[in-house]
Amino acid sequence: MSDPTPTAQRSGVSVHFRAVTKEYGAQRALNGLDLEIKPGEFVALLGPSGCGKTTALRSLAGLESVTSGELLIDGEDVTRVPVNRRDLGMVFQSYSLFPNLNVIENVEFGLRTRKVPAAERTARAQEMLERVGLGDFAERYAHQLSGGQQQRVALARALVTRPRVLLLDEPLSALDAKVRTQLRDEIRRIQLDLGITTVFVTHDQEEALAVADRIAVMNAGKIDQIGTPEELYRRPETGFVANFIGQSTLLTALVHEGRIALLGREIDLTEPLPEGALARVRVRPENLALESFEHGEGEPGRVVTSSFLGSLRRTTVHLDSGLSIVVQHSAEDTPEVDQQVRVRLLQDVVTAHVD
Amino acid sequence: MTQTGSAPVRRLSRTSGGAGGWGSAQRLIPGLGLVPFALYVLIFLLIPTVLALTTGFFNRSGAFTWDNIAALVDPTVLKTFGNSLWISLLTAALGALVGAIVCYALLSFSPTSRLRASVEAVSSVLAQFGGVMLAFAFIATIGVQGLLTVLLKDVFGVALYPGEIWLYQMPGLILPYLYFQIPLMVLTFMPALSGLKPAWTEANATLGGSSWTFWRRVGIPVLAPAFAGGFLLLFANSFSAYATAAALISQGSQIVPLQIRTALISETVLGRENLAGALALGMIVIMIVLMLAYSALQARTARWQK
Amino acid sequence: MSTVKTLGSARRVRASHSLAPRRPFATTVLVVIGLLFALPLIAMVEFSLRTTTGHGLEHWTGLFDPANEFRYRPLFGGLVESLTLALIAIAIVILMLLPTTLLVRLRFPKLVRVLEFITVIPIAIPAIALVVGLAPVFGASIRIINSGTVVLGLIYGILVLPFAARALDASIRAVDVPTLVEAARSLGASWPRVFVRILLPVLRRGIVAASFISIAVVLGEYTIASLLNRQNLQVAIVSISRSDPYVAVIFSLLALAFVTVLLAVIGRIATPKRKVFDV
Ligand SMILES: Nc1ncnc2c1ncn2[C@@H]1O[C@H](COP(=O)(O)OP(=O)(O)OP(=O)(O)O)[C@@H](O)[C@H]1O
Ligand SMILES: [Mg+2]
Repeated sequence: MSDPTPTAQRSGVSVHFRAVTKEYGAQRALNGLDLEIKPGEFVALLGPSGCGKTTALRSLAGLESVTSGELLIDGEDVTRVPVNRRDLGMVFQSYSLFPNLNVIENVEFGLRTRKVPAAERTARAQEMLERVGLGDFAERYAHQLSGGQQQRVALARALVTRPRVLLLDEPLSALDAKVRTQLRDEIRRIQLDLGITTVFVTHDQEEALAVADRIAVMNAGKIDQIGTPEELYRRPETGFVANFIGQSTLLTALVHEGRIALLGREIDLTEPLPEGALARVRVRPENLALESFEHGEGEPGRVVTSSFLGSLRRTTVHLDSGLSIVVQHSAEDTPEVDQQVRVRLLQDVVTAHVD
Repeated sequence: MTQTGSAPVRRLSRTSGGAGGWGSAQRLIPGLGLVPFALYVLIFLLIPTVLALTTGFFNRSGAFTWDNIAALVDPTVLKTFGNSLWISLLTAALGALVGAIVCYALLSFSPTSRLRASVEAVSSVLAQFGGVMLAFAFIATIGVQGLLTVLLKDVFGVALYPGEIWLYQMPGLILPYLYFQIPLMVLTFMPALSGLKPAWTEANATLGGSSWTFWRRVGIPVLAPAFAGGFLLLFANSFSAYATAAALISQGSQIVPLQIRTALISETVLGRENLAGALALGMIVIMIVLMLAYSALQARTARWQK
Repeated sequence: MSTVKTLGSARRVRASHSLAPRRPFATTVLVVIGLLFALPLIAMVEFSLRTTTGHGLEHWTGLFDPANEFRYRPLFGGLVESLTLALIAIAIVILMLLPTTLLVRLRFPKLVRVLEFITVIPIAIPAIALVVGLAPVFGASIRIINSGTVVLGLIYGILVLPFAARALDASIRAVDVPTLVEAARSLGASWPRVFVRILLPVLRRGIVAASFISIAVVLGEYTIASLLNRQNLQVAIVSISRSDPYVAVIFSLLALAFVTVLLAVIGRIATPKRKVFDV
């Protein structure tokens, strides 16, 4: 029964959601969800609360039955395969260690159900515990561990059986900020080591941007856009995605002769928009610069707030034209509240839409 | 320093002075407040308890004697203790089992459902429904003229009492006792059962375990202390019950509480004057053993419990 | 057709990770046990309606017939006695147990365990065993206090300790009394003022729950009263049952209904965790 392939050599499998719909009574949690995940890929499911991330993950795990659609793992239709035969590893948001078993027994649990011989079982469990940095905690019980340690054990428990896919449902959300980044990077390292296909649910965009190969942004039970963090950041396809990834300010500008006027500049459109239309333009704080009122260029305004973010600052400016806009700049400039400033657009290319 | 700035400082120092620097006088006055309750408990609880434990060692004239204690191994008394123990064991085991099954059935309804709320409310009433009223309820149900007795005879031609009328003897206690034991188990066991986290069963399933794997390796071990605790509570409950038996059992003193009554109201029982004291001592010793068993059980599971 | 299919698969998928039993099984268990438990209650009602000729309200109306007043006087006397006893027990809970519990929590935290231990003794010592030690104390106290009712009330105050203490404790824990008192004291409130203006209102639910559970315990008490030869409600019901079993059953039903109401109210404000022993 045991899997003789050394972990490092095992490459991941593909995962496929095909028009998956899940209804809870009248409520549609998933609305024809389509998603293709490549072997060994780390995909983050990102979206606002209630958009169906958990439901998507649990449907893949087999913990929820779908109303219609198909789920494929490694090309095999698993839609009707019961959860305990899908061979997936899952880490839950809430602490889920078995309280009556100690750490090593928890990790061995899945190996026992697969009837792995005792000696191999202990060796593999111990090896996996070392990997998550808890080699010395084998005899402890869940209540003797911190939240971060419990989630590490849960990760080891999910991975030790060498599952086909690793599913993580906001595993870090109950942890404090520092442990969160640390564990997040560790999960990524282990995932790359093992080459296991991973689906990671989160509502924290920074987390998704930091670890995922690709991010799938979910909205109302569907994928709005899927792409690498760069793609999503630079070329959001919908207002929803643009709004969700990174911070941005929405401006409107009139299209005239293939150009728009923005913050005192004329910008060429890369793709033509109808003449005379009102384009909606998203501008990110890092695409703007703060200039002195007397000597700089750009649109004038007054500083509303300014916050220090370590190496840089973000300042909200209320433009004389009536809009508020967020500008990112070096921490050395320290604008004062109510100071008169100017805001200038740094880049020539911005994303514009016409609704 | 401004006025507003100094106020919190003053306040702070006063509180810390009160907490840290108690003089003996400051302790003495509140200490006096404990005296009335202490005296009350001493007179009406501690002294009676000590008396209940010790009167068995004395005769009516106050001289020390082993005579009453020796009666605890008298065959009649042993038989009574045996009866009490088996009826408690039987009703505790059945009550715990049926109560746990009811709890399990309730799991398939949402914790916020009306049904669960009303079953819990009804249980808390029925668990209180001991005593003589319970005896009347069963006399009205399965007494010689009881509703069920009559129905069985008239409709099905079945005689509930072909021979002697067991309701008024030892076996007659079983059904009435179950009537408060089962609800008591529901009350004590339900919180433990609903404390099983869905994440545990889901983790079990994603790790390849079946339902049975879950119950064997996690569910039953996690619930065992609560079940055993409930069982001991039920056992103690039956063991100390008096009123139902007093109202139902017409002849003889088959269980210890009835034996104590007899010893209290007659001059001598088995030729001894303070047998009630010895019987009370025996009962209390058994209750203490039950409590020790309970705390031993707690200690055993403490390694994985908070 | 398609819905049928999804239902089938839903069940298959669900079975391996759901704790809950199948709905039909659960419903069957609850209905069967529910009916068995309803039977004695139905039987009591039916019994109370029996007349020489069939069924009727004879026994119920007879209860308030002045002609029967003499016969039923002990019963109503027992009721009054039990209510008086309940009042005494409640007074002890509010005037002695509550201040002591608060004092211990606020000023003598080391004694919390001691108080907890004392309040569970009445559960650990069966009433029938305790009565052996209570009989001499009762005899001695009655010579000083000169009222059997008061002495028995004081004894009942002990019997309700475990239940009342638990109800009070739950409400005290719920509001973080030490911080509240410290806050009030730091604002300059005196101790009596803190007790009356802050603690009593905040702990109102606990006090009501403790009082109601005390009434429930006292109304059902038979063991100690009967062995100390006091005529309370339960003793009166037993003695009348020999001559008029119908009235005994009616009173049992009424007492049960009353206790149900009390516990329903408690259930609304706090949940009692343990049974009143078969006292
Ligand atoms: N068991 C259920 N019964 C009814 N509706 C449900 C159930 N579970 C989820 N839903 C609904 O389905 C929708 C999607 O829920 P889901 O838990 O997948 O959201 P989510 O994206 O994980 O949100 P969050 O970030 O808050 O965890 C929500 O509107 C939710 O109310
Ligand atoms: Mg979720």
